[in-house]
Amino acid sequence: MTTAEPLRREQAPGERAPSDPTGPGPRRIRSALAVPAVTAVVALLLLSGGALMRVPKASGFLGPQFFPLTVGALLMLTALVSATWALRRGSARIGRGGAGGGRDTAETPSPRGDWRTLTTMAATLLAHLALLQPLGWLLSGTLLFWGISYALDRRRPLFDLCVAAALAGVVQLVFSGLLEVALPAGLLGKVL
Amino acid sequence: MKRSTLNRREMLAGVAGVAALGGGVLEVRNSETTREHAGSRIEMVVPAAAGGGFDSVARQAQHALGENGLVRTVEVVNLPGGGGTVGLSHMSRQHGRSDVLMIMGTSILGGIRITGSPTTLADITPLAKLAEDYVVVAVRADSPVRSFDQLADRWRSDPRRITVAGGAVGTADHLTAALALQRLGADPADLNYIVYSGDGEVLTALLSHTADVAVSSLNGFAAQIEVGEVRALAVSSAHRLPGVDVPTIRESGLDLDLANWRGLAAAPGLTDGQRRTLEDLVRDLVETPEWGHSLRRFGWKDTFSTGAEFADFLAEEDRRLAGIIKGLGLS
Amino acid sequence: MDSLSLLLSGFADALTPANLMWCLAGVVLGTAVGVLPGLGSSMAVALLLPLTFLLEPTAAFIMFAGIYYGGQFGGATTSILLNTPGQSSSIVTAFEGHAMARSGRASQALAAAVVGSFVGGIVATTVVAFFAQRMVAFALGFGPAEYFALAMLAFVSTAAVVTASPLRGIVALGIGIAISVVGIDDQSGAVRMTLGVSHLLDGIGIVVVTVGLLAVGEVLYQGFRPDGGAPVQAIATGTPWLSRGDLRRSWLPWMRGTALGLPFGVIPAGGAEIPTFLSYGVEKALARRRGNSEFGRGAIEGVAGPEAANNATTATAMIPLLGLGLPTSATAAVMLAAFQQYGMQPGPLLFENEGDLVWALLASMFLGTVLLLLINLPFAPLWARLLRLPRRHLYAGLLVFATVGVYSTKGSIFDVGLLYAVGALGLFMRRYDVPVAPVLIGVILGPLAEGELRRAMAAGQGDLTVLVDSGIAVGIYAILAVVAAAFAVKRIRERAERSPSRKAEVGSG
Repeated sequence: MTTAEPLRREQAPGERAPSDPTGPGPRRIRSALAVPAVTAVVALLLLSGGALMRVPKASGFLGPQFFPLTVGALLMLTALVSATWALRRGSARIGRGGAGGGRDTAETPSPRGDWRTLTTMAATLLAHLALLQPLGWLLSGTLLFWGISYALDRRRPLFDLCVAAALAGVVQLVFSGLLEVALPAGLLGKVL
Repeated sequence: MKRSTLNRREMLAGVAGVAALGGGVLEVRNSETTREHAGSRIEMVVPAAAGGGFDSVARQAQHALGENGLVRTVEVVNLPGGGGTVGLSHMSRQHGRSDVLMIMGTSILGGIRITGSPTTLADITPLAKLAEDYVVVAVRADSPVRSFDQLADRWRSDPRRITVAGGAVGTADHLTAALALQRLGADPADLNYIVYSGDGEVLTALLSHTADVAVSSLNGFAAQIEVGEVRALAVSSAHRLPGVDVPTIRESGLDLDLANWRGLAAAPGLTDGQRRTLEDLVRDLVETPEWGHSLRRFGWKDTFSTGAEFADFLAEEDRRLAGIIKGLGLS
Repeated sequence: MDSLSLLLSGFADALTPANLMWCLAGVVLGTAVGVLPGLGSSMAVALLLPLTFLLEPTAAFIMFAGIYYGGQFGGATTSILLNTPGQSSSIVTAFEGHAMARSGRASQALAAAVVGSFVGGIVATTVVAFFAQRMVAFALGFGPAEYFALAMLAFVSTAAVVTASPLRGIVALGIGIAISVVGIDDQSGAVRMTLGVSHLLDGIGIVVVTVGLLAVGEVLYQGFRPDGGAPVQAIATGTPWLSRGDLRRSWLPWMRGTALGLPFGVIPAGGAEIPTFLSYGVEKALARRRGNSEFGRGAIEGVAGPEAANNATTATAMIPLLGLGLPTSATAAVMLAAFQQYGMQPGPLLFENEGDLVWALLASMFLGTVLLLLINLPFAPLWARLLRLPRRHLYAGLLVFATVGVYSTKGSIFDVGLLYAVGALGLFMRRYDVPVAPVLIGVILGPLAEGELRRAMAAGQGDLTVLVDSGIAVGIYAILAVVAAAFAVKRIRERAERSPSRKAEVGSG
């Protein structure tokens, strides 16, 4: 998480730009450059990692650094090409490049993102992550379910809490009791 | 109307929530108390792919432990790669867990030395040595090479031309091949060695004409040797093995024998009590009739040792392997 | 015909009421574990394996086959309903299957998957029963150069067929390969791209990436873009069964998927992912050619083909296992262990030494496939009702199961953090229209491509011609060239058509 979590936080201000109504031109360009920028970061990671790698002596004909370097170079090339295209084409065709893999192809991204919901979700996930070990699954799992459903719909928090507790309990019973997968016991394990 | 159904649903959810949470709490208590007594469940980490020498040791131990009720559930987890250091680094992070065991052996020691792994034996708790196995040098049945001496001649004159398939870097397979080449008077850096993560893959590489020669654990090739698809040229033991009609590498005049021992290690950070419990478990394991049967069937030599005896052996073995690897110019 | 009588005697061994009960229990339990997101058939088998130890060999293998097929179907179920594949071989099922579920056709998608599994399983099991020993020779035609060619074919067809924009496809593929490189290198043991984090030494698991990108990414995206979630509640009304039209559209994909899957199970290290991706690509390309493509909006062909391919592959994976003693998948490894525990050594001698048991096993594979169909087809509409849950509970539950599923594979909280981080990446990719599928292909096939390329180059000592030194490799590259050429022609034609009016673009799924 140490690797990608900062990435997400850096993204947040960058992503906000498209939803702000500050004129179509610069915002669209910035949005179009998001993908090339991330691509370039990944490429740089691969290239620097490959170049700085400590290579053991018995590492075969093409060493462990060959593949990361090649893929990194290809990605860098792709990033440059798509950045130039994005800049040259300007704003006209952005957002319609086409999804793939069968998802939501026909839709263009909606102009506004729901940042409040997303922040609540992210906060829930981070809290769950931090509390899983100290509090144990039962409590932090309840929190996880409740936090996400609260983020999506705030009207019936108490009902959601009951469902959350029920699900966390059932998961504990099924995984720990039946499948013998150890879930963190945390606080409860010590108290009982 | 709607209001009341909603209320009823809410009440139902409340009751279910409390009930399931209560059940969960009971389960937490239950599992905490059973976890105190090691022996209800063991996770056995194999630092190699399924179907190889390490893997067979784990699966046979799993069988013997389960069959005799020593452990209720044994789960085998394969973590191949990096000369066994992938499994090792996983193991080093299971601090204080008395329900994890890892298969270890010659190959892990070699793997640590050759790859310069940041994780070493100091990061886990070696427990016991279980058995010894040996490496076989083999070719396809249609190969023009009929004996180890013929292979030696070809190998010495043009080492790069001979493609050798075997287990990960630093394994007994790899060391046997490199040592043999060195003892033949060639530069071990010229060894054309293709790495696979399990004995099964090595066998396929040989049968599919990818490699000319295979070095692998003897029992993995036994069936193919028996039906005559694979010709065993030599084994890495010091003396001929009982019931195995294959000459040793020593018989060809090379100063080389290498045992591929297998043992068990536990997680780091165990209390003395936890460690003793696990050692007792291993001692019980090697006394089961199923384990004895496995030893015979796989042709493993029973060399069980634990405690101080094992620690001394390990230190000596590590020094010896480090010397070999240094001599090969691989560290 | 000798094989036939042996198989019949196998059925005689397998078809006892008690054994049928065990098989039934296996299917039910396997499905139950398989529907937990992140836990697919191999987890189901590993977790439930101890149960089979209590039985005598025939019953154990029969129950085992049941668990396996049940888990397989369970994984497909979560793919379709929740967009969360239980195993990497049902990733593709999620693409169209989940789109179908969103448009209220969840039970049809499930039915197409079940019948597809059945068709693939039955045909493949027949092949195993009658041609196992002969097909071993085919398996041995594959060396590093052939595997590398295969991975290249999968890469190119992803960039060309599966995605609409090749540039973004390449970006996604590259990200996937970058993820796959993290950790200790398989062959040399070098530490790669861990940025000093020791938890990354054993790499980033496929389960983490799959569940993170598809499930967590989806939930975050739904929260980020609330208007996108509405269709989920419009759920399966109408007939829960496959209509005549559905059948007409599905039967050919079932056959094609099966045909694609058959050879892949036989070659060791092939895995079930490549044929599912290829089948998806083929169906998509064919649908586009017919001009009435529903791909992207829930095309039943995109579920039927890959599921048939998947099960055909897993059944023929028995061939290298029985004939060479070589496990090609995690599940096959468990089977190998089970064989050894009953004192059998799979390999060239197995059919001679332990014939009775092998034939009983093959018979039980038939039984498992049939029972799977009989039990799960009626359940498809029931499973589909899961989607009637309130949207917030559905997504919250999805995150809970994704978390537990990932946590339980290694017991590592770090992996849960990684899961959420990958989920954030999934959100970013959805937001900017970068396809997710190539990332998964890169993660799964990147290591295969790299490892086999390095082996081929080592064996040839740097001689590039080893890559095209065999008929099989040349054949694969020829197919690759055809795919690339067809794609290029299509792009050029599209561009020519588009230049007068840009509107046409929306139509191309």
